[in-house]
Amino acid sequence: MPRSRFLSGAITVAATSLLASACTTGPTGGPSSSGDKGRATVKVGFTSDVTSFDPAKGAGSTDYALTSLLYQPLIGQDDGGTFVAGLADTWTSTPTKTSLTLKKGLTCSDGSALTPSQVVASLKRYRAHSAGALLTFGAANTGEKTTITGDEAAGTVTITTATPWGEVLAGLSGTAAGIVCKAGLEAGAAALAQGAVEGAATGPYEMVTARRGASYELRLRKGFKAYPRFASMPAGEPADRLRVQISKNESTLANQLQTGALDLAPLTGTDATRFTGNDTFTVESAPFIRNYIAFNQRPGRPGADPKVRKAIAQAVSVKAFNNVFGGTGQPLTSYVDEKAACVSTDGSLLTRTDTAAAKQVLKGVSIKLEGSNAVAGGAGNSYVAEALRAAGAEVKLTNADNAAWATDVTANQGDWDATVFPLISGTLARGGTYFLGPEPAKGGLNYGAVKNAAYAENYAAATSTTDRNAKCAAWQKAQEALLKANDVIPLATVDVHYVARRGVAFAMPGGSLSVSTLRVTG
Amino acid sequence: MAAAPAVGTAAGTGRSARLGPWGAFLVRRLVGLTAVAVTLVAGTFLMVQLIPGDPARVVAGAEATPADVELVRHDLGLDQPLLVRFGTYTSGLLRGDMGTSFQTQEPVAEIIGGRLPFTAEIALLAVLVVLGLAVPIGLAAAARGSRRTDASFTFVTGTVGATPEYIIGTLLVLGFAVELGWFPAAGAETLVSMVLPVAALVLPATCVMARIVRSEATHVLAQDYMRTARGRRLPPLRLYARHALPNLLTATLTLGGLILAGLLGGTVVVESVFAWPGIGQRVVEALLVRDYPVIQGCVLILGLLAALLNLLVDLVLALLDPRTLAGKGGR
Amino acid sequence: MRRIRWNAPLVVSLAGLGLIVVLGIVAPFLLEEEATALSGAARAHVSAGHWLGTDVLGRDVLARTLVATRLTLEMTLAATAIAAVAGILLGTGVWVSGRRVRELGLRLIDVMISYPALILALVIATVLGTGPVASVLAIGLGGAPAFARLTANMAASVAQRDFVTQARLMGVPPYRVLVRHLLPNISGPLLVLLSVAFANVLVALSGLSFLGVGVQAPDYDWGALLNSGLQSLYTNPAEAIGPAVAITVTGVLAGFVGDGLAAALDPRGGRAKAAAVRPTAVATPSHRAPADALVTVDGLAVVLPDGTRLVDDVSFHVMPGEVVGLVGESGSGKSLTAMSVARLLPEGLSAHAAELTLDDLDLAGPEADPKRLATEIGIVFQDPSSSFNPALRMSGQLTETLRVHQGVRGADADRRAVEALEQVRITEPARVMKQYPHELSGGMRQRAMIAAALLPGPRLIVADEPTTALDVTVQAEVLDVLKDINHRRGTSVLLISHDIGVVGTVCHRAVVMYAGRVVEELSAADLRAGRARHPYTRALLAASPRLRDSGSGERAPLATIPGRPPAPAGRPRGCGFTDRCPVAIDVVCATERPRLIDDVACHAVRQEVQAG
Repeated sequence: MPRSRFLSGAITVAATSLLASACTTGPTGGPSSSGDKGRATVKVGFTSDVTSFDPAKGAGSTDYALTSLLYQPLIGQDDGGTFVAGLADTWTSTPTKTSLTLKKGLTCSDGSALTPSQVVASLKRYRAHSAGALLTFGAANTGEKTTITGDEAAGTVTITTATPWGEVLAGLSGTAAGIVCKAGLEAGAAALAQGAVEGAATGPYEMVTARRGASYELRLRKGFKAYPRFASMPAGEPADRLRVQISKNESTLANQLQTGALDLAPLTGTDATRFTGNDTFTVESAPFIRNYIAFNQRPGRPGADPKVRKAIAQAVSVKAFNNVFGGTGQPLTSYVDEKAACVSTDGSLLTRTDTAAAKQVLKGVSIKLEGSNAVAGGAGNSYVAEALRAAGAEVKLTNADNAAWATDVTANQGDWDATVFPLISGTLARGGTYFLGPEPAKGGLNYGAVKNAAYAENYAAATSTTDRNAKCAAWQKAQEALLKANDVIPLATVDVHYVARRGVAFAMPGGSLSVSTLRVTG
Repeated sequence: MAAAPAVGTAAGTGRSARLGPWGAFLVRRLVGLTAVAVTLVAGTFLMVQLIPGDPARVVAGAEATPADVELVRHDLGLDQPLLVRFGTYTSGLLRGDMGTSFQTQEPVAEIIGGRLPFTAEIALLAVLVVLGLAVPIGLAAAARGSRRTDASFTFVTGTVGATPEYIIGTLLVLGFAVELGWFPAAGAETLVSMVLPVAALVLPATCVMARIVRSEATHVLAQDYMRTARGRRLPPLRLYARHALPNLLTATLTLGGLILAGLLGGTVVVESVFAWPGIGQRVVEALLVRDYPVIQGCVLILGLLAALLNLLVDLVLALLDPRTLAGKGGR
Repeated sequence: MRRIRWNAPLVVSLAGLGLIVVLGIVAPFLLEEEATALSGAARAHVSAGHWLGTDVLGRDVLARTLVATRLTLEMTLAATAIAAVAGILLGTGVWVSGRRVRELGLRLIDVMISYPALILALVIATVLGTGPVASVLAIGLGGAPAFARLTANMAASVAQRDFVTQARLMGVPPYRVLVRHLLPNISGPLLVLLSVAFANVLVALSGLSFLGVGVQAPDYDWGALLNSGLQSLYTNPAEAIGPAVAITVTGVLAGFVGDGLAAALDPRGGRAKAAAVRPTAVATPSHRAPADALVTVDGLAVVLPDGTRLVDDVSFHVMPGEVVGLVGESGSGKSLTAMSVARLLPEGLSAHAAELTLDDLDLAGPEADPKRLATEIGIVFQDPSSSFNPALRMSGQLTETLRVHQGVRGADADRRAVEALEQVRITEPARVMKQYPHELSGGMRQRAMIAAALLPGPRLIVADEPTTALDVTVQAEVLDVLKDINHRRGTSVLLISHDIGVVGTVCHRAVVMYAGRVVEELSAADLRAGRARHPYTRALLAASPRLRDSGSGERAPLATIPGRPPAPAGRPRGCGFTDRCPVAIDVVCATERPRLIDDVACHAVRQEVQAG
């Protein structure tokens, strides 16, 4: 029978091709060589898809990773807050004037030269479109009060602010301030957000293929030399190709690492422990989320009473909180972690755990605790709720999803008394904007209606100077004021553990992964 | 369980006389489809508006000032009254424009176009495998129902059928990907990537389906026409394949269509386990960030697909069993 | 609702579920403290203190799993109830409302059911905000369409029955039709559906939790526990085991309750009881039949697996070219006897005989040549509307035996089928060949059935009540066709009928059966002339209008036979007809079995003969 022969033939072909592909996708280790000598593809996994490819609009770790590869900032920020060269080689900065000299021979990914005027255009767009720009140029320097100019001949870009402001360099080193070439600026915001605009890249990589929600493939730009010069830059060559893969589930990422489908992935949960003590992998940890308790201090709320805030601080144990996330996080001594510049590490400023004392105040106090379930399903919130309950408070815990939590708490549209705030930003200036200024209803960020004059005064002092010592002295006073008043109760970080296959190395300047430092060493 | 089409009665014999049975059938179904589409458009739009949580705030980001949020709200058109937005939405739909994602700025049609094939791929494959396995298994169980095979059939199908897909999926990953390394643990890179997700969908569904087929087959095998066929002393294969199967298919396909439709959305759990970039995962993402256009678009398309599949199944049934066309019902 | 037949799976699974319910009630009282106490040892592995380890907050997983039973069961029950109430109202509602509403409602259910329930549930859960109430509503409403569809299907079968139609015509309001007529009649299957739905809801609820939109802390159900456990599956698998097992076991038990209920309510439930078949004593051959008989039945017994004899010691024969009628009330065993001859007994029944042959073909042996069976015996079944396969065209069904067993090729077979259809006086046979059974009238179908039986050229036609399901006018035509075939082809016919009149007109000879035994054998001429001897045969004749009318011309009132025949298991030791017999002799008839002597089995007749 010819028909059945054909069928069986087709089945055999299908079966063998399946088997063949099964064999090729076996757990082979290491960055895979593809033909040419030394050309390697490194496969990096992330748990969330890119939400925007526009550096000014990036909102998640995958956004930051990809945009930092495509759009290089002028400078980088290394450990301890020192700045290192990026697209700019040298710079000078005073509270009113910052001037940067670009490296020679910079190009865009379409081959055209990257000129100072293009950098100016890109920075102006950043100022207009990025939410973070407010902190870069200062709230008092909006609009025309900041001028950005370029000098083609000298190859410099100069930023002047009307009011003294000391955070310009820090702001320019952020991923959001990555420089976009002319092609990108002309393509418009929608195109920039949706995908990599061809010819717009200033960073080390350009996009080859993008499959939304699944994977992105990037190619190293030939002749790119403007890598930020971090102190801990690993040896080796940048990978010729980077493949970014999305797997929503951390266990899946871990499985893919284990089976050789990935070379590098960030893990925040317990799956990271599968790779400790394993010769094939290296694990580097960095703070991912800084957790602290904050209060709704409006009149009538329990948090308005300093005694209650203190008692709540006494009721919780940082160590126990940390254990919820596997004990791998770092206890916080402020609202940011110890890697941040000018952070207070003075443990004596913190309220000590004292359950007995807490019970005397909290007994019968009704507290509505609302937290986001985005991190470990809200396990940290559960701990705080249980600890307060153990101290006699009547706790109503709401574990909302991130969107509902943000609306309820940070926009203050919900009924809440206290929250476990998951701070992503690692700098004092950015994280500290939540404790001063007007309330959300009046156009500010002060969601808890914190009134701490000493803090606000020192915040202003710290952010308007460029002198390191003066800055840190002011920051110390600001943090002291906040901690003494128990406006913030630092808990612990949830760390991200970057698990890398041997042969792949990277730097974590300032405590966070910089994908552009990824090097193939083996 | 009676086959579904038996319930559709011929609406207006006069009309069917003019159009012929197929014409009347199609007219009836197209009118129904339009009504369903209109309901879905309005329903999804309204339902999405009910979701608590402010999309503008999510899009603007946690560190945005209220002014930024208002700016975003304006950009997204969320400051318009509900009716105006509904008007914009429907007029866009008529032009084939489903809007753009709040979150990623992609056109929703593109998102669906990129995601749906992945889901359809494994859902379709799963349904084919389910039907291919469940029908023979169920038929065999009904035909040779000795007490012992009956008990083990019931036990195995009952147990596997009641196990959630994500547990089965997780176990499959543990065994075949992590321990044995036979298949990729996740992703949609190669053909073999499909094996485990499809297996996770197929195992419980096959068990459920096999039970349905068995009970249907028991019913069919007890029919008089099966005794007539046995009276012709046919070889077993011919007896079951030619005489029992077509009658079994009516019920089986009805349910198979339902399973396929269910899988289109039901793969969401399996997609999550295997990092499969399907539409189910995208809906969950969109729900979490209140990405109205994406939720609306996906829910609408899935609904329309369901309605279309329904029609398709009925068309196939009408071809298979001419009694269903007239809607008179054979029973 | 039908009476429930308890079976082992049902009892065991109900007991298991009961245990879980008790656990759900008791556990929160006993273990609440342990389940919420923070031990300080987060994600501890299995130990003597924590049999399933601890969770992220160091709480005992076993205690939490047990305590979560209550919330899980409550949520599952509530969601099942929502799905059931909404679904049943919708599904039965369409059947008690007007036609247009019904059309629309059924269409709507069709579309709703094919909508991905989990996606719908996800949206609903997000709209309502995560938590137990939202989950319950989401899954309940998401499951309602499926419930509605299945209920609608069940209701359909009931709603089209006469009593419901009648109630509606009499203007009984819809809700009363629903409550009084529809619901009680589908309560059995509904119960099965409910237990299956319970299992599905359980899995669906845990699925919501798996996706992170289910129950949120501080509440916890099995799904939430499992979700948290799965996050550490690769580092501390014990945490996931408790809730995973709980969900699966409860789901399986609920499913088995469904199975058990289905079996318990199944009218055909006896099937599974395949107890050891008791050896049946085979009668010694009597060799009464002539040697040249075509069909010889000698000492035939048709036996249930438990040994009950439905047909007991039946003997008769059919000569070549002879039409023999098997007559008796329903339950007399005549059809089983005929099916034994056709070797088509239903599953579970077995035929034993000293001799059961068609010429040299042994019909009682363990193996019989299928080709000879198919071609030498033609069978005409009782109900032509159900005996043709509705999914196949007539041509295929008519020619199947020819093609399968006689190797006749397509066109040739079709030609012969058309000839056969002409022979049974079907007009436009070529068109009929292309039609489906439902497109033919009842009389046409039965004639086509006879044609199909004729086609392979059988030596015997077994016709099992061939006219019972037909109109009176059509009955005569069909019988004529049978007679005609017998005349022209000389094919023997074994005609089974409860109508002694039919047997009298069509057959050469009649065999009268009562309660599984032959009571009398007589020629058709004797039958027509009323020369029956057995009191049962006489009673049958008295109850048959046609023969008496044609016989004497005067219209006597129809006699009925009082009482009912005995059940096969309760057949008396003596004559089965004793209780209803007008001439029963006290001692003998009830205790001593009359033997068939001189073609009649009756003590009274024997006494008369001996006396006379």
